[in-house]
Amino acid sequence: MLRLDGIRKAYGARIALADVTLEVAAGEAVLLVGRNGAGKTTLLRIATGFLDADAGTATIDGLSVASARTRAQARLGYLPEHAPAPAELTVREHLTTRARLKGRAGDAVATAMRAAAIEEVASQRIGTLSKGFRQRVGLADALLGDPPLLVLDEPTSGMDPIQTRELRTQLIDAAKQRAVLVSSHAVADLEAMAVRVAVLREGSLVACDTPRALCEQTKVERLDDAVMKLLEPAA
Amino acid sequence: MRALYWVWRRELQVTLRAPIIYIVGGLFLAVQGIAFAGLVGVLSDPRKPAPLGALLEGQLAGTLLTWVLQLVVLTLLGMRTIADDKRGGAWELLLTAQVGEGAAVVGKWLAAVTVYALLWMPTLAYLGVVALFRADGGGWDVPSIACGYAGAIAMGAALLAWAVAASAATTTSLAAGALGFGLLIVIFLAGELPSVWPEAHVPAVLSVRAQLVTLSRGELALPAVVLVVALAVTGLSLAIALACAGRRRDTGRRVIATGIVAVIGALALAIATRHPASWDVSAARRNSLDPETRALVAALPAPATITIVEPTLGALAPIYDEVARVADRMAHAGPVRVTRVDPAALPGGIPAAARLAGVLPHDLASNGAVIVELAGKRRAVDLLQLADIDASGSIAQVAVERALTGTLAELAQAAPVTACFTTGHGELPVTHADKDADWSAVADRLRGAGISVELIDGAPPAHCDVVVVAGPAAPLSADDAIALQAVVARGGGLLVAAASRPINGSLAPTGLEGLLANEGIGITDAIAVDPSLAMRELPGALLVFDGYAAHPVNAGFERARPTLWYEPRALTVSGGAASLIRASAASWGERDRAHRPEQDPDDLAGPIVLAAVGSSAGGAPASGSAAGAHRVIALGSAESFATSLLAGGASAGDLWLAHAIRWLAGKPAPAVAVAARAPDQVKLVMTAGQRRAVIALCTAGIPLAWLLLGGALLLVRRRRA
Repeated sequence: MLRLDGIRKAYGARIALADVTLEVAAGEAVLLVGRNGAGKTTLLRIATGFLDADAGTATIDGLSVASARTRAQARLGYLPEHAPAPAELTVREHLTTRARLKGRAGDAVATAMRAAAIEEVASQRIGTLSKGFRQRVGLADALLGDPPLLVLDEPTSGMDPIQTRELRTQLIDAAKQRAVLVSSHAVADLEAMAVRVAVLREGSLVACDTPRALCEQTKVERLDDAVMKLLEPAA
Repeated sequence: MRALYWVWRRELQVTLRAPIIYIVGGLFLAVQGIAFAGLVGVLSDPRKPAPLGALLEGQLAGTLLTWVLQLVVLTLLGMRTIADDKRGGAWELLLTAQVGEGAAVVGKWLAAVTVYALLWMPTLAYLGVVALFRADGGGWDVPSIACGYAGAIAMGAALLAWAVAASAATTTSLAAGALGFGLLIVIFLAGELPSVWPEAHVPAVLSVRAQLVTLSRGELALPAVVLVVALAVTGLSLAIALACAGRRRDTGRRVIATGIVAVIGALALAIATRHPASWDVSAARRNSLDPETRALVAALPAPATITIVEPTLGALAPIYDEVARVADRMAHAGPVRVTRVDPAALPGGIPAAARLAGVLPHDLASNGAVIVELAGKRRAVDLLQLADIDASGSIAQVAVERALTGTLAELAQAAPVTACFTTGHGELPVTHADKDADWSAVADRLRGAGISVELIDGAPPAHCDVVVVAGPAAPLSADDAIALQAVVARGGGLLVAAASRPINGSLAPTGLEGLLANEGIGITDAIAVDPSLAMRELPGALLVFDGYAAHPVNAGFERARPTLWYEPRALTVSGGAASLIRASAASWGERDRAHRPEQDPDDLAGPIVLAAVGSSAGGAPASGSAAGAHRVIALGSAESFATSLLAGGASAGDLWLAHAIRWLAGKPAPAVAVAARAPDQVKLVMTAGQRRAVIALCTAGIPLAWLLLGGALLLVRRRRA
């Protein structure tokens, strides 16, 4: 579904991504982990077409994100970090205009709200919602029109444990039968939904495998320990 | 288009839900209200005439102060459009929802433009105020008002594109605001530069205010449209390029494209300036030349020059702005060159220009004038011809086009006039003489008016249209008189100016007394005395200001242009002869020249005639040019038209003589059927209390109402959600 091939990106002299190749298949959730500044958000932005790569190709369902951006984006649901939404609009108003913007069908809003379990706050202004609900509104936005690919950037960032657990449940449901690429620096939060874990260190993909395989590779029992080991600078 | 529409709609939805927009709107309306209050103050002041210009012209075009505040409002509207989204992440969300940078930028700009247009809507209440308090007269000219509003909104939209570009360049509203305001103020001041620094080589077409004045007059001028489009497209192109900066690989190409767009815009503006087509949408067609003017200008025999001599009286600036507009239209209709000058910069300065116009130097300096030149002939048009000002000082009619067209028609008149001056009898010469005791100034004036001046000795040749006898010291012979009688009989003109200077202690006869008597005119030996017209600086002189009869020769003189008469001889009229210029009823004809003038029964009773027109022509004073009619004019003093007297600048005698000779020749200035028109602005009739109420309503009431309406809407929404 999503294929990133030889992606390179530099900000001036600083290399943000160096020849990253990653593929996310339908029905597969890939957890992208790395330290702050490792290049996770940059990779997701290139995958969604917000940012052009300096080199390499990104395709969604075979469509180049660079040359057929809007058609590729039609197959994409994206939740950026902090799930921005206008505080003055109600949840329904926000999602309705987002659905129109994306050219989604009229019932897409109701379906997305149901999937994200936010129907009870549909008439509330977004500015009055808790952080957890706002993330869910963002998730509903990403789910509008039932896109086959979900890209989620730090979906649990800044949330308390209860909110994180609630959102995780929604994410696990949403990830079924979709390709999902989700980034997080908190491995434990999203470990349960990950089929594979991709580890990004200083712009380079140092590992991409199932959680079990990573644990075996690093000879530890827990995934977060494995990730920590993989993130240590090379000797 | 779908993306563009929904970006616009969503942005509008979000903007109208934000409290800040009602605060910005309140500020905008307060600024507009203050400007309108100023306009109400002027329009309702019974001591001042309504200023020239279309209804709300000043309001819609704005002043420097209101524009600075409007730029603040435009900055506030534009600064948050993209910068806020960039900082909050909404920009990322938008551009990953099948929306390109172009649609995102243009959609957000359109939303800001819509809000800006909404801010203008409450100002329509000003028209209600005008409707409520306007005096009778004048129309509404709805197309002009609509054009003015559309222009104000369009210009705001063009400037908003640059505020949006500033917003696209940064990630904080504050930085976007500072950058945006800087950009807008540079664009605005660039257009204002020529008015404060004429030497700066900045095209006047860049002036935002000047273009809005044009639009609010109902003139959809190509330069204004091109300026708006060029500013908007370049601003948006820059905004899109900046929105892509740092994210897209083709940003460099977009920046180059923006540069190309800017160059195309500049070229289009240059072409539009050179070929400034315009569409007159005003109801009164105030921005179009009369067809007669267009035809005349197109058929001018030679290039003409219109020199606008700027008045020092600021209140007259609108009239001269109208002169400039009409002159510019003429320049685009034919071979006419237009210049605006400071009177002091004219050759000979203010006195020379005043002499040409036949007005007093200080009047010319304060009132300005227009000098029209064509094929070596010159004519001055002064304020009195440009506008009809009634007794209260209000401008009753604007006659700019009529005056300029009439003058051009006169100068372009193909039929030449030849004035033949008799010599050999001690006449005042038409060349310079000792102590300026000559008619050289008159001759210069006549030549400037397209009248050939010839000297004759003996019988006048057939090509003489008018024979002038200028103050002969010795009487013309009987043969001369017969020859002149023949000239008059065949339809030629005769102007006899009697010598009023004593020759060997007595007043000289002209030798034409018999001829003049046939016309009903008598030249007496009495000297006109009029204490009410006397000048302290020049004893014996009479300054006539309102003694002009209703006659074509006197057109434009009554209570407008003075003529100075120095010890003139009293004329008598009988039969069909008529007075052209006379002293007041307090005047008398003093027969005793040996003593101090004193009225006694022996003297001629006033009002004393100073200039008279003969019986054959006098009977039909307004008809002008009936061929074959006797045309004889007599003046009581040739010396009153001497250069020595005219040089003082107090007398328009030479101009009057030019009128008289053209009339005598039977070739008057061509009639021009260009109508004068009423000033477009209206007077408001209101009491001081009503004025206070209106000012309070506009400066505080409407802005507060906007704020309250916004607050109420937000409150209702928040209670629902």
